[in-house]
Amino acid sequence: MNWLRRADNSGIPLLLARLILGITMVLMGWAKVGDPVAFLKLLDQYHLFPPGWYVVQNVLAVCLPWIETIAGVLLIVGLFRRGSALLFLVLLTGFTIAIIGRAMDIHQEQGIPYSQIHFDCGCGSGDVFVKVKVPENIGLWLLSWICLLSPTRRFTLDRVLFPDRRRPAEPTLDAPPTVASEPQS
Amino acid sequence: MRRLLRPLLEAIVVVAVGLAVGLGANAADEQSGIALSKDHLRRAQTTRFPATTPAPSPTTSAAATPEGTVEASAGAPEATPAPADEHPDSPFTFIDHATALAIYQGDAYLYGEDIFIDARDDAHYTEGHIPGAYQLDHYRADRYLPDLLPICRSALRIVVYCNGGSCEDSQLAAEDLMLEGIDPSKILVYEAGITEWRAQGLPLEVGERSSGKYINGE
Repeated sequence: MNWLRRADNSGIPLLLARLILGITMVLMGWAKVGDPVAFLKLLDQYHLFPPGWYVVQNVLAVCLPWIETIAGVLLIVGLFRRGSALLFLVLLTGFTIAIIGRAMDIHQEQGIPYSQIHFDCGCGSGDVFVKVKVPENIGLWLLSWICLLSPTRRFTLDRVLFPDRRRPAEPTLDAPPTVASEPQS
Repeated sequence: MRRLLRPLLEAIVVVAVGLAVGLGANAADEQSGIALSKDHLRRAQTTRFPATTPAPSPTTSAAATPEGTVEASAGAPEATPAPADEHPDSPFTFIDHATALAIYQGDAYLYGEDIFIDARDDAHYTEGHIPGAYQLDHYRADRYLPDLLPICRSALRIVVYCNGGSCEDSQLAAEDLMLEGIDPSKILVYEAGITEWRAQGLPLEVGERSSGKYINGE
């Protein structure tokens, strides 16, 4: 697995993961920011909350797109990278379970094969086939894990703004570190 | 555990910032902000009302033929309700396109006895609404109701519409009116909505109400 560590130490896999995940989430979040009513209607289709929890649903409709957008921007620039990645990990897990649950409801109610089920999932990408959306979410979910677990701080604003003097120098490709990895603060 | 603590704290900060920005933007944006303490959707899904009688007819108007064309008539166009089993518990009468058109072309609409209400948001309303229609965006109803309620009280019939299809905004707006004391028996929901109106090539008024700017549908 040394090649994997060497690749990760280069910072390139993390940079790519951050850019793909961050840009995707910014685009999806920003698409919903301007129309909270439309997002509220889409959220309501999932029946996530019991009756009487409409304030929570309203707040979610108003704030979730902003949270996605802000976390996406932070991930792109590499500030609060692990926190943003953890947030996306949790959100994507919830989104994916909700989408699968709704697809199962549609399948049971209407008898439509899973491969033919499509609806506007409220993800910000409009009407999508479940067979496309679920693998897409799993891909983003895996990218979230990379952003969360990668020990390197290369190409991040975190490294510039909060240099950790206790850390040893970043390992290079030519001279891989003798220690296992950077210590976690 | 310590490895997870910092990402967790960072995530909490990001969520807190997102909440603050979202709530602030919602409060500051009069155009698209929504009231957070209002149950915007539940009434349309769960509220059930006893059925009521169809809308009363005005004394002068026009009648729609089966082909959808309009003929002058001494009597009034009866509101053609949708099949009863489609809205068994609704207090409102659901009308088809021909009936909505007949009301639009009738004298009662000309004299302001019948009115149309567009239940869509500002962007869609200004893009094109039924000429002379008032606006009642259910999600920002407080902005419209003070001016609209006196007009609704004196109206004989109120036709409420939105996009049609699966759009529930017209029913939600109709419920807003009913909850404000408007007699539900004079509220008609034009189910096919602006989509059908536009598809029929009928005129649309753009911009504000009575802007004098018209376009034709498709």
